[in-house]
Amino acid sequence: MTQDKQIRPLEERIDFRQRWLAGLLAWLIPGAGHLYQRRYFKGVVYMACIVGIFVWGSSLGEAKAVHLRWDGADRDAKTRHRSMGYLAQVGVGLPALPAVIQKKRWESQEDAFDLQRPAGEVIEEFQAPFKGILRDAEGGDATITGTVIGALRADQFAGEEFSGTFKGQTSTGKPIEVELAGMRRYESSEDLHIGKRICALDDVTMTHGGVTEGRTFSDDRRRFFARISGGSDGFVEGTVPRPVTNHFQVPLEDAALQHIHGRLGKFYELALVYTWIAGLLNVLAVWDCIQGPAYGYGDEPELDEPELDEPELSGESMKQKAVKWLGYFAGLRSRP
Amino acid sequence: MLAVMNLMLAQHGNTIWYVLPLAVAISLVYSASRYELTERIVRRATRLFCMIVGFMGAVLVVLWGLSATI
Repeated sequence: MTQDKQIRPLEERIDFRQRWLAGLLAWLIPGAGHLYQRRYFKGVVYMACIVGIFVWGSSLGEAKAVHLRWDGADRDAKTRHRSMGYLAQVGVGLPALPAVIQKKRWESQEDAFDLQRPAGEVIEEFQAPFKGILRDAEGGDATITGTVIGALRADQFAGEEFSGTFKGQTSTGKPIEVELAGMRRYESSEDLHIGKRICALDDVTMTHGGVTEGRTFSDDRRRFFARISGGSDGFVEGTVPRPVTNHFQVPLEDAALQHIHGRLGKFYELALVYTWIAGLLNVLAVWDCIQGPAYGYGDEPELDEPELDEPELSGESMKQKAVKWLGYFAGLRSRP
Repeated sequence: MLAVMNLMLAQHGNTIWYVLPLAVAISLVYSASRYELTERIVRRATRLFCMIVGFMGAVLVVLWGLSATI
C-alpha cells in the first residue's frame, strides 16, 4: 500500500486545479491559493501564520514598517533612500501593495514651491474640522474648535497662499468667526503652514502658541497655522484631520523615520523583521501552491527518521544513541 | 488580541520572547511547504520548532557564559 502511494506522482494525489491562478491567489492573499485547490489545512496554516505575523509586525511598528521609498537614483545624490526591506514585504501580496500606490501618490503630490505652477491655481480646497488655539490681536489665547473653510492657491512668486474663514467656538462656548489669510514663499514661513496632504507622519508641534516640550508627530492630523487677516498679529494654530488613505503605507520622510525609530526603538526593528519574514514565508507558500510539497506527500518513510522495526535500531533506541553521543561530546566516553 | 499579546510580551521586558511566535510560524509554514500530510506537517513543525528554540537557547547559554567570564 505504502509502496503504491510512493510511486504515484503528486499530480495524481493532489488536485492542483489551475496552478498559475492558484499561485497568483496564494501571492495576493496568503493561503487563498490552497483554499482554491481545496487544500484546506494548509490554506488555514498559511493564512493564520503569514497574515498573522504580518499584521502583528505592522501593529508593532504602528503601521509604519511597511512602506516603499525608492529615490536618490542619481549618482550624485547626497542621500539615497531605498527601502530594500519592501522587496521582502511585498511577498505577502495584497496587504503590502498599497505601498506602491502610496509611493506614486506621495511623489506626485503638489510641490509647494513649484515654479511651473500658474498663479492662482487651486492646490487644495479646505472644509475641515479644526482644533487648536486662537490668538487675537490683543495677544489673548483661547482654545477653539470649529471648521476651516477656504482654499490653498499657488502664489505668483512660486509659493502658496491661503484665504478662508474659521467658524467655531471657544472652550467656554463663545462663538468665533474670523477671516484667515497667509502666504508661504519659503519653507519656514511665519505666515502660513499647512502640513502635507499625503504624509505618513508629520510634525504637528505648536510652535507659535502654547508651551510644548519636544516635538509632536502625528499621522492622522495635519498642522494648520494661518494669520487672521487685517494686519493684526493674531493667528489660529492647531490641526486638521488627515484621512487614513493619506497616511497608510505612505513613504516615511527622514524626520519621521528618526522620530519613529526613537520612539519605538527595538519594537520598530521587530516590526520590520516580522513583516520581512511574513513576505519571505509566503514565497514558500506560493511555490507549494504551484509545484506541490517539496519532499513529497508525507507518507513516505523519512530518511532521517528510520522506522523502529529496522534491524540496526531494534537493539538500541534513539534515546540510548543520543545519550552515547552526548557523553562523547561531553568528553565522558569514547566515540560511539 | 494583538494588543493583548503585545502587552503580555512587553511585560516580560525582553524582546527575546517575540521569537517564539515567529518560530512557530516559520516551523509550520516551512513544514507545510515540504509535505502534504497533516500529521507529518505537525510532527515536522514541532521538531523544527524545538530545533530552532534549542539552537537559540544554546547560543544564548554560550553568549551568557562568555559575558559572565569576560
